[in-house]
Amino acid sequence: MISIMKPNIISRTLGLLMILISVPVVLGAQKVDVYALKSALVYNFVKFTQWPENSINTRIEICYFNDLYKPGLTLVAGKKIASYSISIRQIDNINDVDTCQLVYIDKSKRDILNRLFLKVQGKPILTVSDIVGFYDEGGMIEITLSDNRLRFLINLDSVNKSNIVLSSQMLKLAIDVRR
Amino acid sequence: MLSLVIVVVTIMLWMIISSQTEVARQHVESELISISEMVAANTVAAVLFSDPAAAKNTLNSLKAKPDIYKASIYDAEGNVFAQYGSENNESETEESEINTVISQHMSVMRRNINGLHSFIPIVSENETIGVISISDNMKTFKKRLNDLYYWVFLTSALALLISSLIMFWLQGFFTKPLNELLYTIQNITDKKDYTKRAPTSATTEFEVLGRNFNNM
Repeated sequence: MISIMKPNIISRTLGLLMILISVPVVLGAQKVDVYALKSALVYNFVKFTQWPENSINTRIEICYFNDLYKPGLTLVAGKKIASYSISIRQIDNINDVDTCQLVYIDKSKRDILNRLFLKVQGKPILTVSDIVGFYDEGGMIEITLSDNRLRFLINLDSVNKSNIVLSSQMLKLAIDVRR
Repeated sequence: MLSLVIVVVTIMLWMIISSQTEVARQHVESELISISEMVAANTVAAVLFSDPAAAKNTLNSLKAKPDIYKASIYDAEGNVFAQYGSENNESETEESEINTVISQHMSVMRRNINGLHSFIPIVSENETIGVISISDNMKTFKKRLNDLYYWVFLTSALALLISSLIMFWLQGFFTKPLNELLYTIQNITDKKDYTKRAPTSATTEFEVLGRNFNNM
């Protein structure tokens, strides 16, 4: 009886341990993947965006706030799109966005959203965020999760006001385009 | 004479058909490459943003070309991303072409019993992000070629018939007065009738020959 029970207890304990160990790892991996995926998405947005010529010199600067996006965005730093090279810059102050071509503001910075909108108003700065309702509030591109996939919504009115042009190919892929 | 005409006509037929076939084949190839490049350019965003539904929508526009029976988009790892048309039964044979396109960033064309197949890289910022494969069964090409064969053979047969008729008429033009002269000679020889005269002819040469024969 004991000899039968023992392996059962051992296997159950091992199984539980495995679950306890694996769950955080899987969740952690998912979290890391989401940040990397969002970073890749931001890079792809740059590929399909056209800024006014006088607003870019030789590089397109992607600015972000949160440390979590650093590894993903570092991967795209130095890459070339047309004749422009991509550079990334972590900022912690809203006043630093003036030289950015794209600002990625994540959920953790929701409290400064309105100040950001005021700061970039009329400037050729593409604003991207994963904050729910971002494109409703005047942001340009909102990243959202739909059917377990990262999709995006576009506020074309805000984009047009900034003299930025988004490719029709990208507009076709958006869940919704607000005009 | 007739065999010479046949040989000449056959050589001409062969030259016309082979040159026209080659021109038509090149046209089909270049058209397939153009279509593939256009679809590749229009699916860049769908591949980059991992949107197979959008890619499939773009592929569905190929229904405007009935000869294109199959099209597939593969991602940079060679996995099927979106498909159009008949099920991909040739995926194993396509694997080598897809790997070549991904690794060497170059287009590949293949022709087999099913038709013509193009493999074009989907490129974004000098990076191959996928491959588009389009298959054309070349039915229109084959139909055009059959039409060409039909008209070329029909025209050749007519040309042969007309040239034969002309040849027989020309032959008669020369042989008739000659035969009449030979008949007169034969009559004189057989019956010793020297009052017989060679007939007059429309051809100057035979007219001169007949007159000289009669004066003899």
